[in-house]
Amino acid sequence: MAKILIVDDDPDLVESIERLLKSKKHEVIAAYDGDAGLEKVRSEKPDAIILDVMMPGKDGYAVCKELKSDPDCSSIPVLLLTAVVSHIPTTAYSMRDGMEIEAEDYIDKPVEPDELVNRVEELLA
Amino acid sequence: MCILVVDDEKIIREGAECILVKEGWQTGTAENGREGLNLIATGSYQLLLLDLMMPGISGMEVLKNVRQSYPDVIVIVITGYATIENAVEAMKNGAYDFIAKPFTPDQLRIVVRRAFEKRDLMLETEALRRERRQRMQDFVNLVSHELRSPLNSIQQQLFNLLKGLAGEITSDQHMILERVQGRLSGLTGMIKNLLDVSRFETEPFLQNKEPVCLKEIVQEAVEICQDDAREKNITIMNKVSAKAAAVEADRQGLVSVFANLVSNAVKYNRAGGTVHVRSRSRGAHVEITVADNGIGIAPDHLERIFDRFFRIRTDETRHVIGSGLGLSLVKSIIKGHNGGIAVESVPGTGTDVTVRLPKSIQQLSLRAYSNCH
Ligand SMILES: Nc1ncnc2c1ncn2[C@@H]1O[C@H](COP(=O)(O)OP(=O)(O)OP(=O)(O)O)[C@@H](O)[C@H]1O
Ligand SMILES: [Mg+2]
Repeated sequence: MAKILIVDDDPDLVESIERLLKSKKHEVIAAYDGDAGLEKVRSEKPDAIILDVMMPGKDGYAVCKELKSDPDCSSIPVLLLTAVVSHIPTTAYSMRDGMEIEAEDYIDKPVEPDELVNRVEELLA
Repeated sequence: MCILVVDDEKIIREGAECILVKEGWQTGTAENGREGLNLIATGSYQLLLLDLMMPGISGMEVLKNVRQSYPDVIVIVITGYATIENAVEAMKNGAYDFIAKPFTPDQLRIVVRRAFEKRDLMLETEALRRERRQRMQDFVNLVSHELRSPLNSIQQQLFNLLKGLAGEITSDQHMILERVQGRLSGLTGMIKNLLDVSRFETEPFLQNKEPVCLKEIVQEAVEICQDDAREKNITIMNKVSAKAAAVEADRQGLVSVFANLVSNAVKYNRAGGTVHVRSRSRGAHVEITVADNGIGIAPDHLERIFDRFFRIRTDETRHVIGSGLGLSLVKSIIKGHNGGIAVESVPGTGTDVTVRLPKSIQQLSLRAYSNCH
């Protein structure tokens, strides 16, 4: 069992991922924008973070950059939720951007449940 | 507006300057090409009056250099009457106009004024183009976020229902939810295609072109379609030669082309069917054919399948999800690569779609080969 933080501006999406992870007996906390996410990371010290890339205000890339440059948080693994904008092309972009900002992993929305659970397990391992 | 006069003859420099200043234009002068280029590099000049016959760097060289490095600067060349061929060559190299020595004040004024008018038009066109691109970008952002987010959210919640995370569901309910899911991913696919269509129509490709290895591109495309193929027990074979000539292409654009073609070959195929992708060299071109032994296309539909949103509606295709955008996207990408596309089909037997692309120049293709593995 691990404590996992979800940061996404879409409450329905947060709810569905929360439900999934709770079914795997994880403790789940949520934040609905970048700044609140950063705050939660610092106050709750989660074991892993699931971070949406496209959010109004501070987006996922900015949040991730900030986390990775903070020695207190940089070791917490981050899984980026990317949304492929156009056909195959952006998958490569998402990956490149994801790698550039040192996220541990990235996955396209919508996320297939088993896949998400696997990725989270890998992050925690 | 600032005009630079580059001429080795003092009398021309001063004469021109005198005329131009009287018209209210600002001027600067240089007596050779080197000095002229240095002044242009400061970015303060919009128009260059350039003598072609100078000692040191020739006017023609200055012209080529300016056209390449400062495309916004308009160049008017000054030539002697005896060397009118030079003027013609200069125009070929991107000079906007020429004026022959000796010239009258009026001639100079007219030529310069015309050049400025043309520059204004050019800038206006560029601004409009940029605005259009921006609007398209805004639209793309809007669509991708405002439309995709709720769709993602719906799909995510469906996943949970299907997984039984909100309680057991009956097999009937399961079937219905799966159908909903199918339609939703069709919708997502359509949005992706729509965005690609607008992207490839507004953005010129030239920026992203690089030599690419076709076998690799096709492999990427095949992998994208593999899940759908497996579901229908369809075998896809990438028989593109590893030695197929490299082409100069927007990599992601080409993957999109073949992903769409292979996807069609799978979607409009029967269970247990096959899809073969092969290459062939044809003079200065490479041809890639995606061949299937599926349902085929009736002759009277052949012409229309590249139209946006056109889909054939028969009993065999009714259950296939799609938006009719795939082939129109394919066509505009191929057009952006100076290529062509042809379809041959026998209803009930199968379809061959052949894409023809110009080969990249030799040394580039060598580089792509070594990157191929
Ligand atoms: N290989 C093929 N065999 C038989 N019919 C085809 C084949 N490829 C295309 N078609 C026909 O041409 C139509 C247009 O194809 P296109 O790829 O543009 O759209 P789509 O496949 O319907 O939707 P989309 O590609 O946007 O998901 C299809 O609906 C289908 O009827
Ligand atoms: Mg299609």
